[in-house]
Amino acid sequence: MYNLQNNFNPQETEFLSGDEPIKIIPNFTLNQKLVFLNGEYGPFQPSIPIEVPLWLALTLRRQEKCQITIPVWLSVEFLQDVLKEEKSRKKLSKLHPYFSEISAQLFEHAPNDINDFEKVRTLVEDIWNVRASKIREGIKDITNTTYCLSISDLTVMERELLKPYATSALKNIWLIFNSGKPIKRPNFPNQPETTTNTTTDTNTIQEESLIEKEPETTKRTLRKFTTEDMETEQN
Amino acid sequence: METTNNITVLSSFIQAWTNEKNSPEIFPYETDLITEIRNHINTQQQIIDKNLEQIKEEETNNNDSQLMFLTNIMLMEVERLNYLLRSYLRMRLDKIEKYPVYILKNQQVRESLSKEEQQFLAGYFKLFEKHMKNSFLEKLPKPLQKIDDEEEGMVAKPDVNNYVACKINEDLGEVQFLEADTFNLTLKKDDSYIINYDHIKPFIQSNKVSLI
Repeated sequence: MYNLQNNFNPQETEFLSGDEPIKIIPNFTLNQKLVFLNGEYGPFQPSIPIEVPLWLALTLRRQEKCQITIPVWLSVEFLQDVLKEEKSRKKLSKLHPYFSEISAQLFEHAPNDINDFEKVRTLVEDIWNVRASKIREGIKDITNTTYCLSISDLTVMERELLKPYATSALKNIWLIFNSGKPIKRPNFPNQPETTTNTTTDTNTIQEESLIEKEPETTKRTLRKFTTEDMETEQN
Repeated sequence: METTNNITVLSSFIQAWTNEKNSPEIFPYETDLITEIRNHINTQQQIIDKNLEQIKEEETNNNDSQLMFLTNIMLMEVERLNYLLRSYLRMRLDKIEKYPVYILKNQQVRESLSKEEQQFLAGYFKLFEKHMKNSFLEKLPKPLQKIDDEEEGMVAKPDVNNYVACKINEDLGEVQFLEADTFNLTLKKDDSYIINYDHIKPFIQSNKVSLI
């Protein structure tokens, strides 16, 4: 059932982050253009910066054929500002969506290209921890009337880690919330048992309709909770 | 860096892949995107094969290492694309295996499948039915022998009330969702929510909302 999970695991998000553009400074010459599906890259000349997908940059770096220009948002000053901002307010700051993946890959393959490598790594870890605790706090706001969760400022990694929990929790809340409704059955004409033949009969089954044919005579009084606290925002 | 129009092929396909991963239902098969990607892979693969032959034939040559280097890079890109394609197809096949009877009964869903997938479905269902019959269905009393009886709940359907994460692509303003009590939500561009799939289904088809 691996293929039916609804979230990407960290390896897959790392794969997705591979298409993000990043600047490198090659130390080799290649006069041809590299033709990829999403564009042409090259030609490559030593000491001339060029923008390539991240997966290519890391491959070249591993073979020591280039130097990676670390993006601005991975510098000490920027990260210190972000950390200060994160600590000061409840809302999550805006980060590059592939913040965790890109930083992890750069730490692994290009540590020498990062100024103050140890400091940057500590800052990234601190930012991750602060955000994780904020997300945990935000989850506590889920009540039994929550119908949706706002996840606008999460990075991809945080979102994919949250998804299994949040989707099943919200689904269960929804089920309990709607448990007082009349049971839905597909719209079948009421007939006694007919010996149908097989399955390729297309016009008897409509798309599932949740609306009963008879009007709802009784107002549902099961729900006593107020409708004010219907929306939970993840701050 | 020169980008051609193909930058949208990859990102649209990744979006289709993500949609497929997140949703309980099967989306229409992306024939055009997949054809383009496969064409690209085929042309690249031909160049790669030609290069590899050339490398084998030549002895140590200065250009050789560069050719190998270039070929390796092209191989990596082709591997990445192959992974995407395989993952996409496998997800769809898993969904087909999970809901065979529902798809067979439902003309609209069946049209979302490619021809090969429909063939797969037919073969799979034949095996499935035969297996069920031989295992125990034949030995049950006649009224219980049906494998496609919707009233008795024999047909597994995708559960449209799963919760999914989605991103809003356009300003949609105040949208009303019908539930036990109706509730409104202001959908602004670039917001993301975890929300009931059924509620945002109509927006996905028009690409106003995409699953993430």
